[in-house]
Amino acid sequence: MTSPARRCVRRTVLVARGLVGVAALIVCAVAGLDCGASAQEPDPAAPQFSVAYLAAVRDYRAGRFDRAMSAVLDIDHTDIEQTLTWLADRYRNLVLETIVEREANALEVHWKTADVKAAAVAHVDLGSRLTESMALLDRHFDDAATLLDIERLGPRKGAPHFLLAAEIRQDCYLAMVLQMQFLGELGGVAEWLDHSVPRFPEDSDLRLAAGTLAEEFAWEGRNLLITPSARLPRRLQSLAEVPRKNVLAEAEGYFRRVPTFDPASDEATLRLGRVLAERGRHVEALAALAPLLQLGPDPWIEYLARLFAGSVCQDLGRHDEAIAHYAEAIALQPGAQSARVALSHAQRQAGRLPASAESAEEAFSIRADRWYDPWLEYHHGQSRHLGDLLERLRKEAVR
Amino acid sequence: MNRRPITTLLALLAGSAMVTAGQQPVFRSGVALVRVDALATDRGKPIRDLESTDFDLRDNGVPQKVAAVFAETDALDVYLVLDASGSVKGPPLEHLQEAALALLDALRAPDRAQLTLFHHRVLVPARLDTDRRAIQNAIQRIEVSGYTSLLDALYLTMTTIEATANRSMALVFSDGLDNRSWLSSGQILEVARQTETVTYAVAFRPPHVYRVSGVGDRLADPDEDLLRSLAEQSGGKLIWAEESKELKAAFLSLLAEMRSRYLLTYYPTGVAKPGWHTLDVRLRNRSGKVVARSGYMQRPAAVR
Repeated sequence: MTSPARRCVRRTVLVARGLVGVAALIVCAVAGLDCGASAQEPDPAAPQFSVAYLAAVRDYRAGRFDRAMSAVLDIDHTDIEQTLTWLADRYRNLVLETIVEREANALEVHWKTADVKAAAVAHVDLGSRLTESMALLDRHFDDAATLLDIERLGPRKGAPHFLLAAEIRQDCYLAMVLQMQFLGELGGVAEWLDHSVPRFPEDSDLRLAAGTLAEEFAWEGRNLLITPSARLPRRLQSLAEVPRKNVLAEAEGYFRRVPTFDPASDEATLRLGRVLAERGRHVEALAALAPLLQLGPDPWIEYLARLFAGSVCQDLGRHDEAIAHYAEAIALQPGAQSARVALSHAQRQAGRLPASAESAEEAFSIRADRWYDPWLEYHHGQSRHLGDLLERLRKEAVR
Repeated sequence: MNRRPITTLLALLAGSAMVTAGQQPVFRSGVALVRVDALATDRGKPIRDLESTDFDLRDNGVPQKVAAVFAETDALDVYLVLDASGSVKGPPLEHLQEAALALLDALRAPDRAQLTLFHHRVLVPARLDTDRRAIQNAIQRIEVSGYTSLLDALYLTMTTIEATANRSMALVFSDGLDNRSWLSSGQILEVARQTETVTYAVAFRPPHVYRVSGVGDRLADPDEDLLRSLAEQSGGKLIWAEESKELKAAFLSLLAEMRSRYLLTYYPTGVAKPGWHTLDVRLRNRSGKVVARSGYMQRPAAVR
């Protein structure tokens, strides 16, 4: 801490410590209350560098999300790193049973399980809002991972207070993956999948994301700039080293296995259908897509299933069927341009030039306020679920 | 130097074969008039004094009797197809706007222009018109964002190009690879070769940014193979701008080249079968070379 503001906070902490600190600590610890409900209230027994951070975390835990994240952004990141290192060291000592009872109690007082959870979620939440600065985003996702991975040190018997539910950890990692998907950062997606899949090998959402990464790389990998000397995330490196057909085969493998863990995953089936079509296995692709064409409740899936089925039919020369699929897709999503382009092209291939030109004109004339195209979202994996996921995590953090 | 207006030429060509603005060509004995926009150069300079007899045009290898007119003063339909994706942000956008406005200023009264913009969707903020105000306003208000749907933009533009007596050119600008179109480059090339519009492409390489992980957060250069094929099969060409401030000169030079071309017209004889017709155009009895579209599609009459 070097700025005048930080020095001011320190002075405040020192003065407050002498007046109310001990009493407040005792009362709060006994009563289980939030000792640092605001950044102004000091926590005398906590390490100096963690006071402001801990207060921000408790703000987040209290549901004051924006204020908490704003405070975290104001904290010198060195203080956050020191706090997390302190936390990890104490927990490691706790695990190794080398920590004295007094320290164990102090740890529990200052970093409850709920705080660790809230801090991890806060960093994920904050990182998901920092779309203008990848460096800052990376930093907060790294912080979140440090907190989530404290558990990996291994719980000591009788020390359950740091145990984060596996679902919380899975969801936090998934949120980081989805944010990278949203940004179109295949490198970031690969990095967080490398980190999380070994920890949760049976998580169907992470597997779906892994398959999506391979699918997207097969399609868009050529667009990426990969510096020759760069150290790529392992998953991306392995995709970059093999021919496109092998990348598609890897995607197919993931999509086939997802239903083993989540039989209701229509998106895995949808993506399987597209990958099979890309591999030239048209009949299999149509068979995979067929059950998705009558879904009803999920127009996003059905729209894309219609689009992909239409494309396969075009490849097979079945223009009338293709045109019917595209017309259904337009009925499902009137504001989407992709189906109108597809319809126009299919009509052109069928020799119906006036109809083709008319469909093209309609593609131009979609009003901006009605414009919505699932085909664009398709390239961003499962990131359309990120908002709901973050909302769920926030609720968990304040629970 | 032959500078007769195209309408005069077409009227002279053959009785019923008349093409007027807003109409499809009229057929004579079921055979459509074929129009070929051709650029003749000698050591890189346009040749401006050629007569019909100077051109040797072969349709599927069969020599044809052509009428040639130097088309410098003919009315033009100019389709601007401009990249408005996020990577164009900043000085490149300013230079792009400057280039597009300069091109509009260089058009003549009967010329018409249309603006197609593309990012993750395709928009036509100004339709084909001789009135410049709408398109000028639209160019000044371009907002860039999102991804690149170049292929879909080309498809929609080519599919809706009006069949008129005017010669038409598409001027395409992009600074990145397509990453959101529904259609593929193969599909676009197939569609493009069925139009008689001359396509000129201007590509710009933006400075790239690398992330620590080694994966770029900017997209790669525009697809040179696609743009070159697209341009060359139509008789146009691709220009690379190393810096965005070169865009204005590039746009104006391409318009000047478009005005230095000949319009060759003929009724195919001896090759009246539907399907793809390969064109080969050369100069007869003089040095120089000719670039023109690589062929045309003759559809069965019932389909038309």
